[in-house]
Amino acid sequence: MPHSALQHLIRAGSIDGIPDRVTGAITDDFCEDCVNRKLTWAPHSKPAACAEHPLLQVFSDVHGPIPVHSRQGHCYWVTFIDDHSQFPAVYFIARKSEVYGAFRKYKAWAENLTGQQISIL
Amino acid sequence: MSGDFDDFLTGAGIRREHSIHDMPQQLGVTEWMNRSIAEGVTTLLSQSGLACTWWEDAVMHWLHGKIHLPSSSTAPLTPFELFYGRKPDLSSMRPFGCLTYVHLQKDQHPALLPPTTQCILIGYPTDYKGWRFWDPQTCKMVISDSAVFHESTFPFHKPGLSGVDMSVNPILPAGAATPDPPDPPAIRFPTILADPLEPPAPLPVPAIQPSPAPVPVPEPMPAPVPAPTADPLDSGQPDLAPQLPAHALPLHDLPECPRTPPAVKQLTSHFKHHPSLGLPLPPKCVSRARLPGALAEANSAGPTHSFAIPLVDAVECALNTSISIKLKTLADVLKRPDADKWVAAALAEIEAHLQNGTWELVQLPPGRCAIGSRWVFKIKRLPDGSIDKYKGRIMAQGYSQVQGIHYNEIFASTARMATMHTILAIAAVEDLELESVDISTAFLNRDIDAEIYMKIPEGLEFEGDPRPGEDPKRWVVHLLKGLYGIKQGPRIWALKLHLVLTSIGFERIDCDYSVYVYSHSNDHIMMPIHIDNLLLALNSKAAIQCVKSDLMAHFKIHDQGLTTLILGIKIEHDCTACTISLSQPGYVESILEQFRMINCNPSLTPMDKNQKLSA
Repeated sequence: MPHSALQHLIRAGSIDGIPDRVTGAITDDFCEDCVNRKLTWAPHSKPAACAEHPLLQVFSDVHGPIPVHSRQGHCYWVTFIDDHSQFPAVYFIARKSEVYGAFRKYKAWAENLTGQQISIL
Repeated sequence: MSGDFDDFLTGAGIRREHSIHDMPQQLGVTEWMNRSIAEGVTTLLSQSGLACTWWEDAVMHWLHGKIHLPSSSTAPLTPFELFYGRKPDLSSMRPFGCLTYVHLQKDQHPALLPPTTQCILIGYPTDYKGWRFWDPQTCKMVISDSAVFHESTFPFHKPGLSGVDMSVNPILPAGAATPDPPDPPAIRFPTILADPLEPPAPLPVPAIQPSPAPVPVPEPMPAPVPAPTADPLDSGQPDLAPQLPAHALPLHDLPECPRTPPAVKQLTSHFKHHPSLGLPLPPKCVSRARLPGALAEANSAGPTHSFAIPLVDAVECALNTSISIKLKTLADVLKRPDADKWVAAALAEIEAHLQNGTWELVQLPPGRCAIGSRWVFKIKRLPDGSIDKYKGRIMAQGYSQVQGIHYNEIFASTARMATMHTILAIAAVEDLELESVDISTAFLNRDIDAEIYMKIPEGLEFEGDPRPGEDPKRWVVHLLKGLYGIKQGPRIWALKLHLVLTSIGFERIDCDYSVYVYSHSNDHIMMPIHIDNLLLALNSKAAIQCVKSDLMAHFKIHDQGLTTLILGIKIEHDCTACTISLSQPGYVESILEQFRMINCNPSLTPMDKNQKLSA
């Protein structure tokens, strides 16, 4: 029987006859076995509040490889999403190493357009 | 990521926030966007019918719409407005892949021809005002701002097919052969004039330049079909069967034969035996290398064509095309201890056709097509699942028959299951006897009602000397009787059976055309018919003998005596308790075997006990 369940039953008075040396051992202390077994993922926090102005925070991810190359020969796309406007910008690349170039293009284009600087990527 | 990238970010004063490895949940925004894009692309490609290689254009097209729609966190404003600081203009939006008539410049079209070309819309260029089109005739990209859109027509979309069409693979600029869009429905579609050339909202995403060399996508070529290999067993083997005397007719006699050979053909089967196969043929079969007397006499009587058709081992048939339902490969057949039984089954089938006169050998008349034929091997099982007999059948490939040429009516009635149950119930109450009669090779009994030619079945081979200039491959069999697989086979059989039954005193009842009744003084017989299975429920032994002898005069029947099995249903008749029990153990076992549950534990209530059933 799990440690915590036994403890619960004794406290509630549902069961009797557990020797004192056993009940005495049951404490509210940290139980390493329980932690080992029962630890789960922390719940994902709600999305933080949107940034106050464009380009304050930009999310980025690479998607792919797409099994079919596009006509232009690309098989990945890299997404940049401005947190403020949720404005998605997509660049197509053939290799993951081209992400750097894609970001430079995005930065030049977006900062020129909005007049803001990218702060957090 | 590369050190350059990190250096660049540091230099630009950009803070980097990573997500934990394998924790895409922390990247909810972009992961969600990527999923949306992927779904959007699939939708656009499906709607437009374009090949998968167009996904990049589809992504751009989809994003163009996405930035003009409010997202849940930005509503009621659109991403476009939040980013650009002005309201978007949607007047230029058009469906992806729709039919478009693009106006050509004066110098780009020949005189006197319409100054338009038919294209499909594939996007919005970022650096031009207008739309980007693709011209399937020239396989070129066109950018124009003068176009008429037919927004509900997608030239590459195949009607009746859903999903992305992989066959259309327009690779640019290879100029690959691409199906032209179907002719537009004249010029009568509702004319949608292009808006007065508002500048389309420029996409924020310029394609990365220079783009790497396009990776050519291999054209989906049909895999070369291996030519059917010649049967190695069939060459150079001496025939064991004796040559027929007519075979030695001088060649110059042959051209004088009538163009249409006489009705009675000599079909001689030579049963070849290949010692390498290690399969001794039943001696009975070898001795039957010649046809029964009548045909042989007809052959020797006149200067008719003589053809010898050797029957190759049935095992060879299996080697070539015949796929047994139970036996997957020839190796299986040969390894099986019952291989000789399959041979015997095939030989019996050939014999039945030759005796029956199912076909005659003719040259295929010009303008006619011969349908195919093949072998089917099957094990027929008893109700308890044990092997009853081995069957080999020559099947016509009736699916290539054309209505109006090869057949007209094909309907044939079979007894409904409810009718069967009713009659069995009556039989139980009135304590009737149940007997079964099976009619052998039922479909071969009736003359066929159309002119059908069939390729010579596998294992039978034309061996005569063709007339000079004639293609031996043009020899086909002209079907005189019905054959399995022929579309009208069941119908002509049912008509024939109806004629016979009415002539011997049966009456067809009106509520189910497959049930016949026979009433004579105190003898009553009810007979539901399932194609060639006759179930007789009767109250007198005398009548049954009378009926059977009548049937035997017309057909070759297989009297199964007291019914134990009808249509795969096991029947147990308890005369003392006046009950008839139906069960299908063989069927249940085959299902269990199919789903590999043959060793499962039995359950008294084969459903979830805790299921709450409510209305």
